[in-house]
Amino acid sequence: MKKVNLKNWVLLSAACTMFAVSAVSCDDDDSVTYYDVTVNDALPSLPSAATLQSGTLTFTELNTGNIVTIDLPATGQLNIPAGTYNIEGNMTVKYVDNGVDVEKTLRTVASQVVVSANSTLSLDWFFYNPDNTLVFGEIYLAGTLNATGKSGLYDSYFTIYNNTDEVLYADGLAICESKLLNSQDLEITSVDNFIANNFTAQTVYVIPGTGRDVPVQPGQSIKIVDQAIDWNQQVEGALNHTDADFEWYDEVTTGSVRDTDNPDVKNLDKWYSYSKTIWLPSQQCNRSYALVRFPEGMTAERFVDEQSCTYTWLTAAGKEMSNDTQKLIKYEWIIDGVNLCPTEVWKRNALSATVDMSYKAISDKNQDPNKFGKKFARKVSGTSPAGNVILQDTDDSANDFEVVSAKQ
Amino acid sequence: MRTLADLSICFAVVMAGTVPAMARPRTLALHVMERSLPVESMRTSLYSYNPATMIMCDSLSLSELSVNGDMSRYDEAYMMQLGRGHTLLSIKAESYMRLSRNSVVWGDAGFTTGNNRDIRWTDCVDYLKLAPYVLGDAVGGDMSTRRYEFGGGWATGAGRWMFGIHASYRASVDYRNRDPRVKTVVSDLKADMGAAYSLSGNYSLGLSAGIEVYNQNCDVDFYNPMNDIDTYTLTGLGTYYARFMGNTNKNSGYDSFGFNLGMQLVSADHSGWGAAVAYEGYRMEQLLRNFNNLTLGYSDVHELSALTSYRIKMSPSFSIMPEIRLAMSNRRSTENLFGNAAGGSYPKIGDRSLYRHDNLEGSVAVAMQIGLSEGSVLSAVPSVAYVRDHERYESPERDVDVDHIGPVIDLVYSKLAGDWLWHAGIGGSMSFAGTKSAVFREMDMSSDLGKCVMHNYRMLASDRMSGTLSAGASRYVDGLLVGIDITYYTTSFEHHGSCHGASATVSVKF
Repeated sequence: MKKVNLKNWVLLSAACTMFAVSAVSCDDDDSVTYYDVTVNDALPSLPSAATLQSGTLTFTELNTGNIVTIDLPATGQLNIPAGTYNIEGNMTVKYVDNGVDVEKTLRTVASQVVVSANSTLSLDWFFYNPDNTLVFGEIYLAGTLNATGKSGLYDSYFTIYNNTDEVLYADGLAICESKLLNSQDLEITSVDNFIANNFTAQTVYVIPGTGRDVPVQPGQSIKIVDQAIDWNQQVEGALNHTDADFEWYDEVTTGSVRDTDNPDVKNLDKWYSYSKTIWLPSQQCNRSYALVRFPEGMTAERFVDEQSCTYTWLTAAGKEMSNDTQKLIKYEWIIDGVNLCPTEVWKRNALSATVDMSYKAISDKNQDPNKFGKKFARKVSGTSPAGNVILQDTDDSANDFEVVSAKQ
Repeated sequence: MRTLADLSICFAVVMAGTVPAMARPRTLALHVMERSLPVESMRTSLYSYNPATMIMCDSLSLSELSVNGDMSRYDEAYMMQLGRGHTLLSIKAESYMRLSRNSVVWGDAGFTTGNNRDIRWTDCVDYLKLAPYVLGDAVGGDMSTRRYEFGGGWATGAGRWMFGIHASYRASVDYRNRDPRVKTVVSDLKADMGAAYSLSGNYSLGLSAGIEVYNQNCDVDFYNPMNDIDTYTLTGLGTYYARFMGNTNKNSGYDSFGFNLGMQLVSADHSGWGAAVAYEGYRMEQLLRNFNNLTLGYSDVHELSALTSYRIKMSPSFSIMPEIRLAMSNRRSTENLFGNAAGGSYPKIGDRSLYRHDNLEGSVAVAMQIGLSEGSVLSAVPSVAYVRDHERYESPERDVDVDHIGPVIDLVYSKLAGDWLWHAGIGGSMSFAGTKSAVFREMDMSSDLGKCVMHNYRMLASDRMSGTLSAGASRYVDGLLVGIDITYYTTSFEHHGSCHGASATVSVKF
């Protein structure tokens, strides 16, 4: 019996092993691709040349959550890993105004900036001076899942929170919903409706009073609901709004749609609504909301008369369209504002970055059924010297709000 | 799927039943005893590397029906993704049948049911095959499982050539009936073919090749509409896709196509040299079904194994078989990066290959078989085993590099007395760990995910000691060898509790 040629076997095995080892251990070093990004800063107009004192730019990559922070002034090009970024920046500048040295904080924000090649990035900087006054405390729009399990109830509500240590009055404040969807980026052609110029609102509901009728105690809030009823009567686990301070009621006399009015709860004054029937805030949570303090002497009639506009825009095919069912809100009237939109469908914010530099998403995915029963709640940032809870208000809703169960 | 499994079991049973019932009580018992002895079983496993060499695997036809119960409990999970033990019941039918001198068929079918305890940070199954790209959450829980497996092969010889084919299929459903609810379905098809050429003398040289098609679909659901359990799309060592975490993404699909190549040297009489080299490679893609089947990432896996042994008969009652084994694997994973969504579709704008996992295992064993008297054999397998596990993520830097080395000893005493076949065994091993690197940059150690990574690292880096006790008895009854085998096993992890497990098998061989 002949024996196998073991030498050949060993050589053959060794060759195969070496081949396989080289395949197993093959490696390449291009694990992360970096691109050069040139940043062009556009500062607001200043009375004199400004000197940068300090500042940072923060790039947050959306896929991975990785954060790159760059100290300002940044010299030359930035070397940034490929990705889709939310960018935030702040800087302190010093300049001379009427012979006086002035130091101001500027901020900038840019959302979903894709870095996939060497590119130039333009950043618009704006003054940043958040005031802690009356703010949106909670916003609940998605509603509790209804009995069919397919859509939400209309148990939506807003709370307005006194973020100071002194009593503030809420009467005269308006809650406004944006005309523009944050999930669309139609090309606006009417200058008044440019996002940088005015807030275009499709509803304006005002807390009634003479200016000192609705006190809000420090650290307390008032609750404004769609229908001040106990929704538990319809769906177990829904919210009970019989304790609401106000409700918005739309009196409808034609057609089949009717609103529900709780006579024990005061109604908001309806200054304007695009809807011929009832106003239902966006259950998709893809619009913006503003808390507005109108100037002295403003009335509903005057508002409707002076703030009307024709909103025009271009369709994707280039055809100009127009609409008259909205009003203009000046940014200087807005004391708080929030942009909302699911991440997947976000295109731009209906509120200027001077009011809200970002947006808060109820969910990453559009039409996510898990949104039901969840509210936007402002985070707690601390306690005031008087012992009142201070809610976070940095005009940056992505960071100021969290999405939590409405039952909390 | 159930029907398919039932059919496959019937197939195996019928196939087993076609074996002529031989009046061979002592022959069968002796054969079973020889096959179960370490020297023989180590050598026999070599023939299954290539369907063609299965023709030389056994000289007799042998079929077996068995029912097995296996239960284990861990004080602390070795890896959180693998859970803290299991309770499994399985039934299996297998048969090796010689049709003629130059032709054999073999097949098996099995069904397993039970549950795996307290699995966290993965809602997918086959974690070691999919890692690191799995869906996971901090809550987890027990997972019930139903698994169906069947396979069959055929080998034939023509002159100095041998040819063989083999195919197997595994399907499983794993689920959890409380939040986070999981339903995971796996389909795994393998097909191999091989050829072997009888060299001059006792040896044959074989070449084999095969493919594997693997699919998994993992669905997570929450019945509580107020759910606040975040589901993470994990990317390794405590990192995750921030964009697809939270409650948005609740589905993960996996597609994989793999292939393998092998070369073997076997002897016709199971003596002398035996050797095998095998390579397997596959790409495992992770798809997000909820996002238009977005390919989130993929892992390229290369596995290489080699073994060689030499069986020496020192005397009629004493034989030894030194064996060297080496296995190494490399897993490199690539995450895709996406731009802004348009119509629910995410354009790919780049990728990053940040995760890598290398594994090296080697052992040197000397199996010894000593005939003490007529029908009684003592087997001893002392060995030394080395394992190195190196897992790393480039940015943020995470690096876990741990190796283990330690002695292993297994002793088995087998006795054939009349119609009875007895065996008793004891085994033990010690494994001493050495940490070459442990870097967890930017990891939040207080988070649940950070705790998971640290837990897995501490378990991996702990010294451990294992022990096994086994006993079994078989008796020839009406042409059948009816047996029961019981095994108790335990592992003690230094400072991290221990694992205890027991297994019982009732079998009928014929």
